[in-house]
Amino acid sequence: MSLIQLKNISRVFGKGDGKTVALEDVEIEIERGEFVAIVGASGSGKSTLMNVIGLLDSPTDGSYKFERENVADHDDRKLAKIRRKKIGFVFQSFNLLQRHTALENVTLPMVYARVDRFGREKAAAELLRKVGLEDRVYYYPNELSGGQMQRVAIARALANKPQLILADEPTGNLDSASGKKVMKLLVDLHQDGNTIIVISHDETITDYAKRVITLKDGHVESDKKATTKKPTTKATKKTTQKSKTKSKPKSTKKSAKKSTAKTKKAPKTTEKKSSTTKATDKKPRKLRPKELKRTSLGQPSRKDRSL
Amino acid sequence: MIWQNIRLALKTIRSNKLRSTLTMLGIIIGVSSVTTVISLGNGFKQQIQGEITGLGANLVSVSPGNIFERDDDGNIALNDSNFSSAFGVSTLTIKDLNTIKKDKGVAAATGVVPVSGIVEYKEKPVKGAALVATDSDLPAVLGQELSRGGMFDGDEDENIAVIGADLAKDLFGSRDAVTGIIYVRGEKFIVTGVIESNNEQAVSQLTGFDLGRTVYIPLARGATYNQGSTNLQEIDFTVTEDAEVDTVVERLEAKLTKNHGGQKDFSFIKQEDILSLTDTFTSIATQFVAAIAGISLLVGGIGIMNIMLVSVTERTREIGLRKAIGASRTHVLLQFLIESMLLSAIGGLLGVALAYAAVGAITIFTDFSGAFDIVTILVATGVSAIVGIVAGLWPAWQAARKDPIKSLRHE
Repeated sequence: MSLIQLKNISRVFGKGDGKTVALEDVEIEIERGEFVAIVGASGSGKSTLMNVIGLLDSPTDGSYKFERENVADHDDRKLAKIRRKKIGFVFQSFNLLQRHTALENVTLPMVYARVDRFGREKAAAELLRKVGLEDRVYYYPNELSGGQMQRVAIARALANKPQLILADEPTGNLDSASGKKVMKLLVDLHQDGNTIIVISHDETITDYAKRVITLKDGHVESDKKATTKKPTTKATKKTTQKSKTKSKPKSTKKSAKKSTAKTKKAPKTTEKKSSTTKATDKKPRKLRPKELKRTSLGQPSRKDRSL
Repeated sequence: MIWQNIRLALKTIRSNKLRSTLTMLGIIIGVSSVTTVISLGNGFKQQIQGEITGLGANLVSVSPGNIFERDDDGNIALNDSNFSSAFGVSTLTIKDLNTIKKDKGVAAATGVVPVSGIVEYKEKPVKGAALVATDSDLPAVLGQELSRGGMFDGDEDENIAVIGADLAKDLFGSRDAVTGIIYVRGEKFIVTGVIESNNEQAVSQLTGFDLGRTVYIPLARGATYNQGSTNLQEIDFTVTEDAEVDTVVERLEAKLTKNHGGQKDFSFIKQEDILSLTDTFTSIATQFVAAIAGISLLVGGIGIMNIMLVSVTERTREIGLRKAIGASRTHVLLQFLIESMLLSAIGGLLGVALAYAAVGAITIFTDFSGAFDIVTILVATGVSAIVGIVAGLWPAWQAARKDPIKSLRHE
């Protein structure tokens, strides 16, 4: 059963001469349990597509069925209800509430879903444990590293057991080590049966996804299903990512991956582990919140856009 | 949901202490000034009420001149016809006093005549002493007691005087004032009694002179000093227990009008008339001052609206996020409305507390005393909560209608 069915979706902004077509005749169907990456250059319409899928924006034309329900003529209250119960958002800039602890941030969607306080906090603590932040429950966002904040955000997205997790550039503000950890978490969630859509201009994301939809100028350019895991690409990508150059030979990576898959797996994982521990060591561990606040100023450059 | 919003709002208010306090200040000042004024007004009313009822509700006083007239509801109002009868020589005579005394509904009656003359003691004029001629029933009518000696006891022609307690203390100190000698218009007077002044303030309000510092001489003696005129400044009488005040007053009004050849050139003033008069005056004054103070409440409300608008803009991203994770417009609207309401209501409570302190201080340091009741507290807090809701409506609506996508991109 398809979770999402987009038919002839168009989204046009403005009128007359100022008219811009962000999406045109987009047709996508996403099944339950899929891990889809939507990629494309900036201006390709992927953000608009994510807003439409996430019910934050309504298409100018076409039909959108979420769980076989036509959402075109839903009012604000109904749309909010679907967002609250069935969609979990993960943003590039985390969007955690600054004055609230990690736990309180995770409870937020459950507040709107009218879960009682005890139930909320119990569930939120469980979710934070799931994302590996059981020792950061009462920390405030400014006391957490970028990666930790994004994991809080993922825990928040999972709060009401959504049908769909929508992640918009989830690694965009993270260093590569934290980014990998976040992606690994999403992969784990996918393996637990969650439907995940990740939107990114960064094609490394495609390594994790089972299906890659490429957008160009508001059209679906390609829609490919990946059949096997590609652990080698992670290893090769690491170097490219660190140097921050986006030139990567697409064809060579695909041919190389299959042969080297098993041999490179072992050293890669250890390397990854060491890099992540190093990254986390760098972050304040058991400092008191006040001290932590001070030290967090000297963190690796990330855009802290918590609220 | 509501409870969660209240907790959230309190958190926001607490985390912006300085801003919240400054915003609340308008409401605090408004509520505290209104509450203080109303409490003092109520206190003043109660004070007068207490004193007047202390005199007894069946005390009636008759003044010369038809100053007041009654409307259909029996309330008195200033009379604008025959106004001149209130000035000039008094139209009340001994005959009127006797008419009143003879009435079956009257328990006791007395009349007072101000006498011109200097009171001297040990050849020095006594400052601040009023000289009044009256009869022996005065203490009984006004509910006063003689602490020493007695009244004139029929010796109306003698040079005898009864003096107020304050004056007695001034002149004779700890010595017994009775049989003391004072001089009135150069004539020797023997003090026969001292009047204790209970309900002094109320009585002086009624009669217009300070009982404690008055020298009372017999009516007949007083008449000789006023070129033989025994026109009374005022007649006071009490109505018997089983008589109806209104009936007696009505009957006496008719009798006195007859005495005066059909001219109603006097006024009967009952206790409740004085009450309703002072009530009217203090109410008007209180309402007037409270209205002025209420303007600061309005200003406070505008301050809250202003800061809520700023807050909504500042928290645009938060609003976007809340909408994305499932808050409907109503949720967002409610969040900001409750915050605004709480901000104002807390300001109101602080204002009430401040007013309570102010009224307490005024009661301690001045003669005024405030009446602070739970109704005032509830009304003040309720009104400020309403001010908060009204002030928060527009900002909350601004927040509710924000587009989540734009809000999430807002810097």
